[in-house]
Amino acid sequence: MISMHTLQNLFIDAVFHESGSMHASNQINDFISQNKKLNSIKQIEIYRNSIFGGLTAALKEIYPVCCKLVGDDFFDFMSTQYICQNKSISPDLSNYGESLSDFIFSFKAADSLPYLSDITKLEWAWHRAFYSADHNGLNLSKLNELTKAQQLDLVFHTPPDSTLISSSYPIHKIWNTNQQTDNSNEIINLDDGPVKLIIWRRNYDMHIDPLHDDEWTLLSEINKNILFNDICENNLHLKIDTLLQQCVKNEWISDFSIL
Amino acid sequence: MSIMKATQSLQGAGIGLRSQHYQTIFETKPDIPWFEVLTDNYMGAGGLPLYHLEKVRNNYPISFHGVGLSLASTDPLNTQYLSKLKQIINRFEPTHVSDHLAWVSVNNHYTHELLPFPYTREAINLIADKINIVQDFIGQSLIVENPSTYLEFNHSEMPEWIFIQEIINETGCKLLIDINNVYVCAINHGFNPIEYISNIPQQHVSEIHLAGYEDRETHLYDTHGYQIHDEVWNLYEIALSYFDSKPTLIEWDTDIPDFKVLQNEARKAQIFLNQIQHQEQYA
Repeated sequence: MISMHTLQNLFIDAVFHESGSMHASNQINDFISQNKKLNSIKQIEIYRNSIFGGLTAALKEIYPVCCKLVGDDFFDFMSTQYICQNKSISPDLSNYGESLSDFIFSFKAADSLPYLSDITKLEWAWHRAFYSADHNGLNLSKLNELTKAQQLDLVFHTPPDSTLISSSYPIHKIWNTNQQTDNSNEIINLDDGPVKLIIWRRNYDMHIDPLHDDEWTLLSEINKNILFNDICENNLHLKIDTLLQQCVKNEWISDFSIL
Repeated sequence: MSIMKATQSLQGAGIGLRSQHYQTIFETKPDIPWFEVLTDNYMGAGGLPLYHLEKVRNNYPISFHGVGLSLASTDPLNTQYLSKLKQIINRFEPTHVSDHLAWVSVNNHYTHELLPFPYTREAINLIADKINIVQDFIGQSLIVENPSTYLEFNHSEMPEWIFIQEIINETGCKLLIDINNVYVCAINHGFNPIEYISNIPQQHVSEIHLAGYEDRETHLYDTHGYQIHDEVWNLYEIALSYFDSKPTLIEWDTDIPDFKVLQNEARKAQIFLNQIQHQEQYA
């Protein structure tokens, strides 16, 4: 008798390997009971449609702007290709789809929308920040209490699951225009790029903030989890004091630790 | 943050909590005896979903219903998922914790779909071991739901209801009987749904689900996107005569309607529950 493990492998092969599934389909068919109304291929197809439908719906929920830009039919077509090539490896469905921007980058059919990959990157960053751990913001009084010795070992942190994104296109404007439900015909000039952004959350408010080059440099250094003292020494060209104040004021720095 | 827990028992006809209804629930505080929460939607580290769940939990008893344990998978249990599950159980203290008699993954490939398996001794051993591990880990009974399936395996050694009895014998777990699933499977596979219901050990039934299926001509599909069909209401009434009064849940997952539609379905279920309670009182 076939083992559960072999049967489950055959089932997955029959569902996911569309063209190469003949062998797996034929094999699993031998173990499926006769049904008067549906042959075994149709029965497997019910599950295939369900699985692909569920994963596509999950991607649409994470990437509504991408879907709006390309339309439902194209998004469904693209998702099917993506799902075939990228399996979900977490029981948490909200972890699925991180690599969609990389997939789109090399997806020939989407070549006419060069900013699409970066838009999906932004949407994934939004999704991550939305579910990120709550935080209370930077505790300034605790920071002021640090001794000179502690200050040498100081490491700053950006908000949990915040993301820094740079793009050649004004993706924040494209994203923003596509939040409107009135089918606004606002024209975005693609030459308004490049942009550098931080996507983050404070309390229950989501933020997409544009960054100046120096702010970007400082926050990128901070995200490497290196000592603030080293950041200062490595970036003498930056006005670190002013920049730090600006980043703290904008709440892009949410915590610190002592290494 | 500590929360004020609502009464720790599930009674009457509850409704599945969906984000589309948060506003209505918070604004109108509807008279619903309990809500079922889809556990997998609240596995994130923080943010609005957990904030909303906390607000609901402050006012209502809840049950947790998940799809991620993959009890029938030949993969070992995902310990990360299990730890996260325990973490939110400890935080929100649901009265019931349930998952499905199904597999959703193999070789760490997650389909996020409840998949069928053959009813064999190998499957009993595999699932029972996992249920026992889960129950030990979370420190409470796991409630398992009967599946909705569109195919059967020809090397199954027993009907589904005998398989369920065996699982109970091996684990002492509780049951969530989805009446819609019983009806869908009965039509798809050609068995008598009353024979199924009458063979379920009533003392192990902790909860009942009701939902709407879609008739696709060649088969019934468990869409959870329609009002409950008359055939399912009829089977529910019969099931209550076997199981007595059990907390019942109105489940709706696709094309989610106005909250009032779900309230009306819950009121209908409550009428059946009141009838059976009345009969119990005067029996």
